[in-house]
Amino acid sequence: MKFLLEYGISKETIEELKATLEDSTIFYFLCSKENVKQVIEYLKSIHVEVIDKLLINRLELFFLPVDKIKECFEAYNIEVLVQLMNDDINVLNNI
Amino acid sequence: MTEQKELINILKNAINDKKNDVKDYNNRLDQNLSRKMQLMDTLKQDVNEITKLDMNELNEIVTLFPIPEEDKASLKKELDIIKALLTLNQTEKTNYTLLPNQLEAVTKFIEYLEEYIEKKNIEKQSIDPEYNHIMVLTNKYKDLLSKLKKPNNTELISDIDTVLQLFQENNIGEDEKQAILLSLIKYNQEIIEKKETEINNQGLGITDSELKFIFARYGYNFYKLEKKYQLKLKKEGNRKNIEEVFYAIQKEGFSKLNEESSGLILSTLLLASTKESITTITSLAQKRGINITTIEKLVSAYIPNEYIYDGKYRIGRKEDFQKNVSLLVEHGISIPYVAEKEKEILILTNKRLQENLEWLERYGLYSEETETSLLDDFLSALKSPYIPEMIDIWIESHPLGLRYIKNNLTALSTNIETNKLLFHKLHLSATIGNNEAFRLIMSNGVKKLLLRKEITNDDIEYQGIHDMESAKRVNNQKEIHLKMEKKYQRIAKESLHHAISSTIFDYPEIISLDRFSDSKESLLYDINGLRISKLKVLRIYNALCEQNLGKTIDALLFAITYHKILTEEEYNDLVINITQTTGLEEII
Repeated sequence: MKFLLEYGISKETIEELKATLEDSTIFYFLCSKENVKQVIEYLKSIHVEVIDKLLINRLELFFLPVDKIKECFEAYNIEVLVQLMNDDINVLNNI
Repeated sequence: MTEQKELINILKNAINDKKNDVKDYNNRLDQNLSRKMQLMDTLKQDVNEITKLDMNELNEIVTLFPIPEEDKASLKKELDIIKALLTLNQTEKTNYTLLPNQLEAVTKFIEYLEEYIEKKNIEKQSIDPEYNHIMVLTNKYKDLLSKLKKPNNTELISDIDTVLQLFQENNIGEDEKQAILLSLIKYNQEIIEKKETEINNQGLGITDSELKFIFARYGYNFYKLEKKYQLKLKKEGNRKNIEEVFYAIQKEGFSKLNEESSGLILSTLLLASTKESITTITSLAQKRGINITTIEKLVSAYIPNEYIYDGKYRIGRKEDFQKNVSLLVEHGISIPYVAEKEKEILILTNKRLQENLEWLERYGLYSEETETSLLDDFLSALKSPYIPEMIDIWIESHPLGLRYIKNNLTALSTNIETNKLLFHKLHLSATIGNNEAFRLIMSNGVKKLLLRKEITNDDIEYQGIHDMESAKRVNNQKEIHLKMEKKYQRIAKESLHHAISSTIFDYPEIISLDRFSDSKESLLYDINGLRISKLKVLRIYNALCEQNLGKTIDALLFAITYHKILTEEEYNDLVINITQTTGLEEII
């Protein structure tokens, strides 16, 4: 999971993921590395500040095709959505 | 071989000699530590030996323990009483038996003393070269002995320096030295031969050109894989299995994998799965309405549970996948829905998935499937290792806590430790009596709760709370300490994985708590304004009772106050309330 450090993800987040996730989930995460990178890059491009929290609480987001995420997010006012997300990532339960 | 038996005897004697060296060393440099070790050993053998000990000496030792002053005073007092009682038994022929808390005091004394001695030994080792040398050499002798004694040892004996040191210290003659060294060479040769035979039998190891040929036959380029995966395949690959897996994935309609970006998936499938597992899982998936391309990269599903990747990672979940599909169907959850929204649920350990489904049912927390939503919070929560603990703390922290987690089951995925400040802020918001911690949004015509950034962001101050120190001060949090709290803590953690026994509902003290049931929310007790999760109390108290630690006021108070923020006044009122209501008594 060390590749996450290049994207500014903290060591504490990586340790939390290792402690919480089962080996099989971590393995699937590593198998999905390219997709994970694309999603992180997209989230950074729209100024999402809570990527660490999303990784811990909403790992499945990073397995979705990035185009699907974009399509879904762009149905809303991106700026408002990102602001709400930065306040509470659980806004994703409503989209 | 007789030379190896001889070497084993020499090693055993050398290790015994080293033990004596350590004793001498301790006597020379620290007679007090040696005395303490002796005292600990005698007390471990027979608690009655305490009658021969001087109380001043015992008190001096207790003073050295790293525990609060009040605990030291309490322990000294207990030991004094214990010594007095046991002395009376000897001199006046009385028959006093030690009570559980007195036995606990002796056990604690011995444990603290053991920790103290261990700590002093480690300190010595780090600063004293002589002691360090004795310990290092002893450990080397022990390593060598354990290899020689192990019946199917597969590690080569390569530490010849230690063998030569052993010879020198024990004045072994030249002829004997030569014979032992020759026998070690033969010993190592036998190990190498055994390993080569095993490799040949397993058919592990395969050449570049063989791999290139097999890959090409199925439309893949072996050399496009990253080097590390090429090496892994060459070292661990079984020719027959690789061919069979390639054939199986082609037959079952797997998409062609990109060698460069999907090297991990491809190499692991070829090494760890079999044609049988691929056929079984794809057949099951199709039967349950899952399109194979949806789960073709869920590699763990095709790998047997017992497989260990790189010697340490249990990534195989074939058997769990099969059980998980059945389990989800039993709970009325659509498998194609899961495969589309959150397929990694299918490769959780069946135990975690089952426990989580059961806990969510007990708390009555389910959420509807929404085909059009991006994500599903119910499925997300199923991955969590913290479900009951998190539900408890949410519903206890704020009157809106339960509604918040009903709207956002993903809140159960984090752990209490990383969210301590959040819960302190929520608690304060509840104490102040406002709902400003939350905001409402409309979603599909329904009002849903979210939290404000002052609560979710630890860097933003809220009503004077900016770190844990200020949080505890602002909330006037009382640090609660109970006599057996370490044991209680351990049992509370274990209780997350056990069902609540139905017998607990017949206990009079639990029946008496019914008067505190919250009239508006069945998951809660309302004990004079304190919101306490009922299932938390039942779960923990049940676990304590099953360990014969229940039926005391301490046990019930622990279950009630676990992870609960309380002031001193609230705690004192709680103690009075619960004591009066249940009639339980303190541990004596």
